[in-house]
Amino acid sequence: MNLSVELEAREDVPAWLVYGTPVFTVVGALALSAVALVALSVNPVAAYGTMFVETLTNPFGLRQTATRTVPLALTGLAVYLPLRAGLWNVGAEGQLYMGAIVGTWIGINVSLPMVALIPLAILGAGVAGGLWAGIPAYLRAKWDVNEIITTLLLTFVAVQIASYLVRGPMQGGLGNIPGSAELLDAAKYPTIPVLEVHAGFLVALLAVAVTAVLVARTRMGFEVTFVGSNPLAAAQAGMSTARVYLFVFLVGGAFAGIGGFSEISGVQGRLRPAFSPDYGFTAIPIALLGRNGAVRVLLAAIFFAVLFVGGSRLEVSYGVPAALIDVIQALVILCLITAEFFKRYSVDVALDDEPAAADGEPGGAA
Amino acid sequence: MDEDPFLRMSGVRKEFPGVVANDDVDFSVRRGEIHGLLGENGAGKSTLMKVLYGLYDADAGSVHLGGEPLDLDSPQDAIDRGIGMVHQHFKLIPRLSVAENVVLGEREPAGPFRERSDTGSTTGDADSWLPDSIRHNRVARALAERFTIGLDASAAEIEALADDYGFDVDVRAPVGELDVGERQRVEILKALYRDVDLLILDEPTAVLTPAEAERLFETLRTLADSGISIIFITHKLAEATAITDRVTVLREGETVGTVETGSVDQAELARLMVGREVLFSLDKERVEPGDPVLDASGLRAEDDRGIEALSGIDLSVRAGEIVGIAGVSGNGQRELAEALAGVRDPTAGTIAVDGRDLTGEPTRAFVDGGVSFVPEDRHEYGCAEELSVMHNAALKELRDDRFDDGPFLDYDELERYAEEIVDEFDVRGVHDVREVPAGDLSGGNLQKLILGRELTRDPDLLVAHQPTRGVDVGAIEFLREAILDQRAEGTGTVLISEDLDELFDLSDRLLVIYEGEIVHETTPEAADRERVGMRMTGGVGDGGSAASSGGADADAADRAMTDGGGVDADGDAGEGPGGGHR
Repeated sequence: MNLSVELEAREDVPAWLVYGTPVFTVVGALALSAVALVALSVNPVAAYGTMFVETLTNPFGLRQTATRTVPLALTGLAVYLPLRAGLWNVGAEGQLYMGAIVGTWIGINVSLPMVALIPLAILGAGVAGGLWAGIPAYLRAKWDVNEIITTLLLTFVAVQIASYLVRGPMQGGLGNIPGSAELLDAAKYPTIPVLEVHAGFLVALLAVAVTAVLVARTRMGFEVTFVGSNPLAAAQAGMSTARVYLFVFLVGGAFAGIGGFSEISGVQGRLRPAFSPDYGFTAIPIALLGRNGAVRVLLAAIFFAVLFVGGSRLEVSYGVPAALIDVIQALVILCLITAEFFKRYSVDVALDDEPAAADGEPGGAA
Repeated sequence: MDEDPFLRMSGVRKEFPGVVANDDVDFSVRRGEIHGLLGENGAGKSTLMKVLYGLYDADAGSVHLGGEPLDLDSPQDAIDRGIGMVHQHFKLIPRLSVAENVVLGEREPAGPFRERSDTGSTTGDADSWLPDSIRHNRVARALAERFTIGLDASAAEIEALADDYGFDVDVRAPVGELDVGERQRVEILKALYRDVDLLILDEPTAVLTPAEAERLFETLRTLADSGISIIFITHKLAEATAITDRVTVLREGETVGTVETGSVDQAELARLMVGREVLFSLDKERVEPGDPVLDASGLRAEDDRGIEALSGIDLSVRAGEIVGIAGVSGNGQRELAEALAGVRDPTAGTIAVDGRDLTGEPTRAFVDGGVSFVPEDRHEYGCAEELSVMHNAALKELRDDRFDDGPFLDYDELERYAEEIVDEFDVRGVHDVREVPAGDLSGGNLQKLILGRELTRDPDLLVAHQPTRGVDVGAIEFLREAILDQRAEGTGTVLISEDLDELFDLSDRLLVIYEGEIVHETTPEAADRERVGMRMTGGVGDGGSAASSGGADADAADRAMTDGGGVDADGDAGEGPGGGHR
């Protein structure tokens, strides 16, 4: 008996596959994670019920999900925009930290009414995140330095700067525990009535809308898309790839920076070392899942927010280690890569009973 | 030559989602013949050959080789059955020697494990230090065949093989040091080493200079005479008539027919291929050249590796004039085209377009200053394959205010603009300009889209590098006419091509580039093809200054244009009052 697997490159990708990929990816990842749950003697159906249904049916769960969505969506955009132009920003985490630092500083040290202080802090955080992302962008545009390396490494620098500041120059208010002083009340996001979510949620929605319009409706968006698809053809047509690279990183970094300030202002109240549970890294699978549009980035961010919130619920209810959430995230990425493969090739598996041809023995595998 | 078919493919059908690539195709090849497989791009030639070579499974139909049914699962099966294929893109490893490349993939075990060769030539047996018992042990052999590879011992054998067929190639030289023609011979050698009876060549001349092609033809003739059947895939008519014994024409996935090459002429073949009459002689109106649109002087530029590729080019083009640049590829054409289009910064010299000095300006200044560019590689530089036809059509005019919609880009207007180009330039296969990616278009249609994009802007200067390369006959005709129409509109054109027929048909003036310099200047009417060919390869013609024979009398030239045509590869037609300068 002989199992033969044939791979054939697809001539064109069926539409259901293109649009269904994110869904299959998520379902596939959850199915695989079920194996881990079973290994922990947890009923996966009940567990997923707790994780998703309960999270999304009670007001507290929904509020928490919305709150988590804010930094995830903003950093997701920070990865998404450069990805449109064919670049990898794997350092959204660092840009988030720089935004948090500068935003916090403004929120502690500048005395203004709320209507002026919050926009000022957002602006400061955006500029800080944008400039932090601007360094790799400039190096890439000018000297062709690989942006994956520079963005990643600058993340560690940013995290350490924050860590130093909250133990040194910016420390305050908590005795010996590292952390900054608490933000002025005027720098804290008000709560949106009815939704009872902090105003950072609106900022995130606005950023998604701005990005969607920017990419789909403007000349710059056209250039970003074209450069992302074929930088050589774009250059030949007189587009400046350097300008596009700087643009996507500056804007993307600004979003991540605003995400950092939003987390401090809306949730934490003060800057602490390691305040982010890797939002900026989670942003990478978010951007990959949502790479076809800013609104999809938002949807992916909501999905990951549910994973965060539902995951801790799972931990409490079933005693499942929180690491399982990391496992699910990793599986989403793996399934995504697998899905890319299936998009490109169709696979034919055939089982035939004929004995393998005699002459095909040594050379057959070549 | 044997009259019974050696290879018979009948009723072959291969369907891809949405396309029938081969529909009931019949195709047969006799032993020892050179059989042309002719058709436009997308006619199904490659699919048919991939079926034959075991790369595709046919949906229906049968293949017989030497009277026996052929059922292949992989190219390895095809090779085992004596079928060899030389692909358009060579599959060679530059760092390895010719001999090593030839042996590679054969899975010869390392020297000590090798059996005595049947041919009696020396292959390792003598100097094997392994006892016979191990060497002939089946398990040891199987392991050796899987896990060792012998690239060493065969140089002498391969040299002998090369000599047998009159291949002049140093089998010990690394492939990276060979030129394209030699590399192709290595590919053929690879097939011969595997004892092929049937050799498939996929557009083998696409990468060759005319002289190299001539050499290839001689080689193929030798092979055919020794009994090997050869399938020669092409869409060039001149080649089909020059080299083949019989020709099978495919159109839209179906067999149009098989003809004896001797019994048809090129016009007939073209009609079979395209399905209608093809005009070979272009109607070239007289256009009075206007003011200079391009003035380049002392132009120097480096290639990507930083080696000087242009060594001081002076070039001026006037409105309504087509200046043809002939040359063997790699003599600075790419750098010249890119420098003129503002894509590559020259290291010295000046470029002025329409009287405005653009030297050192960014590409954008060239684009906005009325320079259009058709790059040589339409996939790599000409378009973004995964983006829509609309994106690609609008690329150059994006900044025009007609696409303004307040602060936004007016996508509806972009769509209208793209549809206009698609209609006017007869780009086929586009049902929705927003939906169809440019990469889905066939070569000819993509090139029409690109040329359409560049010409619809009504440029002052068009730099066209190989605008019709790899494009089928119908599209070539269209593209050339479009360039001529634009000439009548007053666009000055720099036409860089390796196709002498094209240059002779379209150009008003003809320059020859060699090693980064213009070495010869003439007009199509006054030119002597042989001499142009000689200059292209660095030879020096017999005296006489460039652009001589001012007396190339226009009437005679026109006559030659209309009744000669010039598609003949041997080129006595297109010359008009030819040789008159002597």
